[in-house]
Amino acid sequence: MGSRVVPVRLDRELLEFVDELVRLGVFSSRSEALRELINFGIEGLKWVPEVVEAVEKLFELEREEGDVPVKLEGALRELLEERGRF
Amino acid sequence: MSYVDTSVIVAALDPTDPRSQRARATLEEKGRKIISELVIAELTSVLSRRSGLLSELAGKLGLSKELTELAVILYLLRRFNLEYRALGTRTKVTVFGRMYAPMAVATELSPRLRLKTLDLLHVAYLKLLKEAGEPIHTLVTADKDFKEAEEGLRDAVDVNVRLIE
Repeated sequence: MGSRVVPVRLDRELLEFVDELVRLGVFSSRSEALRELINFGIEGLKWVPEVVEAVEKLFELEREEGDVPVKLEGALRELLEERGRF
Repeated sequence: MSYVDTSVIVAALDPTDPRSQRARATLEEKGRKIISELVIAELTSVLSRRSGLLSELAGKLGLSKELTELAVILYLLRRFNLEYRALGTRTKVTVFGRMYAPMAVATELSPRLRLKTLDLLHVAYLKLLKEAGEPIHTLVTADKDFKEAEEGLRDAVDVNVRLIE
């Protein structure tokens, strides 16, 4: 898989932290640090496409059932009672 | 533009509540409707305690219950054209030290509005969203406590209260 150069604007504080990680030897360069940190972030968000796909399925369910497929019987009374406690 | 309180969304989904149809109709009206992270937090809290519903939907969607909960919230936001606006990590300096902005504003507004904590926090979010440039003129709610505080709300944050009864 080829790589591409992408210009990115970063906050000074963020860049200082990245540079600190390079200075500490965690990464060999800014480029490697950012690549690895982006990979790390993507790993943590791998579930997002599944959730977005599920949203489409919920719209399909609504079309099949003819109504919003989320029924919260008694939930409003509970919510207002809870607010009343604080 | 309206700030939609969690109670309206919950009312629209609660077929046992007499306000349900009116809440649904309100959410389906045209016009921009804004929600805050507090609305999302309250909705997840309500949903998380509907274990039977989440299990049923998780089975239909082929997802875990945790991800189903997120999918349901996202579906509801899209279904009713609710726009989530983030405040970021804003903080304010108070006499107690630095505070997350909604908490600081809630603390400031508390003596004037005398609302309960969650209601007060909604007003703080609304005020901060207005300060961030969102032209919110109405707070839509099914919580009568806001209506009772309407005069103070008009004075403190310049919004009208629309109560779904």
